[in-house]
Amino acid sequence: MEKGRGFPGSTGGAPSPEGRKKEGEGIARPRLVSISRRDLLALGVVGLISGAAFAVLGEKNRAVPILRPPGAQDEVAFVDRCLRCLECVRACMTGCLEPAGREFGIDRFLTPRFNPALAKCEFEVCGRACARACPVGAIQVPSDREVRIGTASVDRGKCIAWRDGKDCLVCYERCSYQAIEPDTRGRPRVLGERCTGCGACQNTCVTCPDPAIVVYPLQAVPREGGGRRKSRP
Amino acid sequence: MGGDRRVRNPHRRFLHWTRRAVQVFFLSAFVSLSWAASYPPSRLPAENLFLRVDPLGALDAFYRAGAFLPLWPALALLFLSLLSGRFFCGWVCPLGSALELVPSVHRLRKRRKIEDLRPRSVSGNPLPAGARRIRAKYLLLLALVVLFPLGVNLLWLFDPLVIANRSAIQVFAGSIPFVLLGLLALAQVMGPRFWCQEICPLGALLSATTAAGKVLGGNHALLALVKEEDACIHCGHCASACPFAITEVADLRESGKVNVPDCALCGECVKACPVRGALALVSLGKVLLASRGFDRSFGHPEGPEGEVREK
Repeated sequence: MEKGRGFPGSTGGAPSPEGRKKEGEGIARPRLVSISRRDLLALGVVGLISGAAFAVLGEKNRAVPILRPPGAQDEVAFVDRCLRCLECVRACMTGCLEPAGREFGIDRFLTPRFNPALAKCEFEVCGRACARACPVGAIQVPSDREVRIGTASVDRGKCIAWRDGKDCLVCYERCSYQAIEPDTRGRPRVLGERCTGCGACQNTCVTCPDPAIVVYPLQAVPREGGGRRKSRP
Repeated sequence: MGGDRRVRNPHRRFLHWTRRAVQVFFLSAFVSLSWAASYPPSRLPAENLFLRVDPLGALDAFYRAGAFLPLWPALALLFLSLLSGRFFCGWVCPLGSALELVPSVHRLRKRRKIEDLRPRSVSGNPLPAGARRIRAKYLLLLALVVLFPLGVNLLWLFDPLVIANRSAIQVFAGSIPFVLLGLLALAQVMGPRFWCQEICPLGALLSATTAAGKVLGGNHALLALVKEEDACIHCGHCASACPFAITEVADLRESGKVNVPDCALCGECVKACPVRGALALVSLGKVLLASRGFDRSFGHPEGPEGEVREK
């Protein structure tokens, strides 16, 4: 290759016969397929992006249960299908969805997570804005009766009605599905078959710092009682 | 970027700013649609349009839904790409526009010679003219398409429209769009369109579609870059101006439509070309924009260099 030869075009536009001749000469016969520096660099960038993602986010962490928008497919299919475009998060009427954080593992990072601490899910009111917004149909539209986001469960070690005998039934008052019933001593109990997991009870619970009634994904609902809970969603 | 400052071309800036205007239009349409996606849902047919236009997202939707009808925007894009190449990348793609509209330090570098612009092998020698490159973007696309049915969904990390959508929403929500920031950093180091040309799996898909379009006879019918070999002085300005790092246009030895699958028809080469009538963007036989002195009407009687020879 001749070094130091400028653009012939920039100095008056004379054609460069030598430039034409030079091409393809003095170079080894073309191999059928070759990889260029740029391509290698690009592959490096791809590796870097994926590597950084895996390093920062860690491995799959399916152990931590996660609440999904109403009508989401089963967890494995949902994770495979979700594009993480966050359209559902933006579409949500109450703002109850958020992108899942790093603690949920790389395969679920940035997928939509229903967080009752942010707001209640108003799936009967909003017209399933999240499902309508999803460009790949990862969130489906079951009838209102079929929606089961999760099930609430009272931690009797935290609930002030159970623990301290106070007159608190805020969750009972807030529940739209008659899924919480006070027992004879005015303490809340969840009727699992009625609960849709809308999160109104968790959102309104007055105990500090954590709510005593928490919505769990269906596969991770602890038995109600005073015992130790599984990890929180 | 930029051509030789000594050569003044009245059409040049027009071309440049036309494309910029189109890019800004689609970028702002994208951002507004993303904004409009908040509650209550709009009844616009354009809702989610940029995501539904994405053939990779459509692949995702198709794998499990198995329905073609909701995929019509993606199929329409593929069809248009059969007819007019990667115009989407050069004119429409919001991520590409964002990368290109943000000033890049890379542009301040001295313009390089075409010898330096040609792809080089790993050892540093220029690749011979006819050599086929293993382009990283095709490998990535292949990996994504193969891994997808196996349950490894990496589209979220590499699909440009998903990255753009997520970044817009993250910015609105006040969180940090890390992938977008990474790509902007990459644009500073390697040039604004390095991602688009070498990595982007959607770009790879559209390039492949363009190549298929050539075989099927689509052949840039709607939008084409046309070269006039008799006028071309092989100066290499087009190659050094190309945001997509294409040197084939400069090296091509024949007149007619430039059928480079990787070309995004952005027209920066037309803008940079110092020779009257050597390069032009042509649509359906009409010259949209042409290099210096090229008349915008097809076959202007002024001179032979004003004509575009159709192949």
